[in-house]
Amino acid sequence: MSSKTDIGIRYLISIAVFPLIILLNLLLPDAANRPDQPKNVLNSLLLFYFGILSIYVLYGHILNKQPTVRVQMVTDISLIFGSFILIWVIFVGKLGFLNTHSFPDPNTVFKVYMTDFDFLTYQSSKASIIRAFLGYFLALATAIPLGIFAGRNLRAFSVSYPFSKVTAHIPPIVYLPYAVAIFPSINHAIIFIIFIGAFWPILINTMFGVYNIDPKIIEFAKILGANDKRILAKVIVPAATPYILAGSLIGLVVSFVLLTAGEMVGANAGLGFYLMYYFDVGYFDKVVAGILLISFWVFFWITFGFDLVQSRLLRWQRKIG
Amino acid sequence: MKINKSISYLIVISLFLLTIILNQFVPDAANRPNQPKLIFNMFLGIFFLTLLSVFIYGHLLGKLKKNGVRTVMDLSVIFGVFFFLWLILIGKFGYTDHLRFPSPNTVFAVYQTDFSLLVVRSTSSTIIRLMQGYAPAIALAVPIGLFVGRHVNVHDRVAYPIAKMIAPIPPVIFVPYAIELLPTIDMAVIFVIFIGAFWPIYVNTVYGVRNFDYRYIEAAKTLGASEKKLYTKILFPGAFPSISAGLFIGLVLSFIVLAVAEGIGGSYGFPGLGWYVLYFADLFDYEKIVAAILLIGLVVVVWTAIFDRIQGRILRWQVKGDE
Repeated sequence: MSSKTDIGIRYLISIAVFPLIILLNLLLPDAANRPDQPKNVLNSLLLFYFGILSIYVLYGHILNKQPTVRVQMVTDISLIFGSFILIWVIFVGKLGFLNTHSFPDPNTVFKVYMTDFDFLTYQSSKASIIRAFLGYFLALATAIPLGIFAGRNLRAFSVSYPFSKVTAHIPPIVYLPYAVAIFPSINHAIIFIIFIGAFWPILINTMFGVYNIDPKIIEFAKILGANDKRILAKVIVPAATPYILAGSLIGLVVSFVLLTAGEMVGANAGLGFYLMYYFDVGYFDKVVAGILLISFWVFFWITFGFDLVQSRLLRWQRKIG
Repeated sequence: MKINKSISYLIVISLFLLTIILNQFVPDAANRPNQPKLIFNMFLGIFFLTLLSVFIYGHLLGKLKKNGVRTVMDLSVIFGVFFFLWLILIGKFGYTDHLRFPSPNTVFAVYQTDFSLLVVRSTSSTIIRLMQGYAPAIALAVPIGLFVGRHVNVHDRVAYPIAKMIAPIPPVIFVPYAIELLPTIDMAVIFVIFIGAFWPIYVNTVYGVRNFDYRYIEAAKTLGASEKKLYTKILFPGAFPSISAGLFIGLVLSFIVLAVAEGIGGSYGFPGLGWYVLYFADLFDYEKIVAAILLIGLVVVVWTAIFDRIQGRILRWQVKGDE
């Protein structure tokens, strides 16, 4: 075990990367093939991140309000993210390696969030996130009850398990053209394929989780006088929750894949559309900005949405282990 | 009991024969005249004969497992009712509009008219491309995953944060950038499939190793197993159930990525099932779209069946342990 000071020094390094990038970005001259880079947006984003990270480490490490594992993970991720930006700034932005057309420098890329604020940062994000969540929550609301039913009923399980295993592997994106024809708008069609894509993994995992519950536990509950409703709420659902959550995570990842895929192929709004539109025109600073923003949203929703819900729902599991 | 069951199985089987007979003798709907019936009937006929042989060989002679026969029959009811209703309601009564909802006869006839483009060239190039991306992903992700899972420090300090950050990013967003950076479209498509399959396989391999009972490794070491033997004989089989879950997710993702990549790269001119669907979507040719979707379903079924076989072979010790 390393002492608290040792860990503190490691944390300091991962925090200090960000002001270092800002300084280098301001002081080093721009590359000759990329003159006059607009530095404000990248610098202010880095400064903002630096502030949040410092407060988090102060609060979690020095005041001891967060588990060490979590603080370590946040700083490790920050260090990797920071080194990526650092390398990008120095090699592409300052030394001018690689061609300017396909490899834009970070300052130009991050400036896109400002110049395209309405189109990219606000409108496209909004359209995509609403779509993803409509489809995903629709899938959660239907797949979990169906899965619990099929997991409890042996015959339904033996039919629906192979059936869904086959159907689940058909890439839902191929339904898109047909969904466009049947549904009133492309928006509905994309929500539909997100629904389908998220539905199967959630259903399969729920079914499997409910099916694998030890029958003895249910018998015990019966002997202790629980009725069916109570068994369902207090025994079956909690016991299947780890599986349901595993399926929901796969469903969430798949729905983001389908969201971007659907938007890239057919939509007229959203982040995927933005990406494809500027790819066709050949503006790669905007393409890279789009890629980074999509990655950010996916990372954001999975870490700050899903992981928090999961650790809350499974808090009994950690107590036991 | 066995007679009761036989009767219900026979009903399922005769549903397919009934569909063929109705298809031949009931007149076509007025808005969909002169449907080419041959291919659809042949398809139903093959289905019928297969079921019949399962029934005779498996149920009457008792050579297959009881549950297996029942599952096959239950699944066939779903397909049988689906094709029956599709034929009767749409093909024969002519409900809904004929453009967006083609009859099964016209859909299946596409396999004959577009035989070389759809069935041969598109299917083969899709499968080949999928293999080219998927196989390297397995070959890299499994060893790296085993190594990282075994070394706690590498995992906690480096690999886990990286995977946490990059793994959930939808691989399709790299398609345009990969097309720009790599010399050929084919390489771009394969590269993105590789990315799409790599992360789920890798994450599940690491998970499998981390959750593997450490005592087995200690026991093997005590018995004098070399490091190489430890990986091949202990860690890989031990993590395999988790790895195979990752292989499945990787397969779904790489199919999605392939379809999108083919759709986008398709304008550069190479066939594939995803390209086929998206190309005829622009022409509003819905019978071809439905035909291609069904064909993709079939490819997936066959692929999954082969995969299950391989998995069953590798995991046969697990089944034995349960019995």
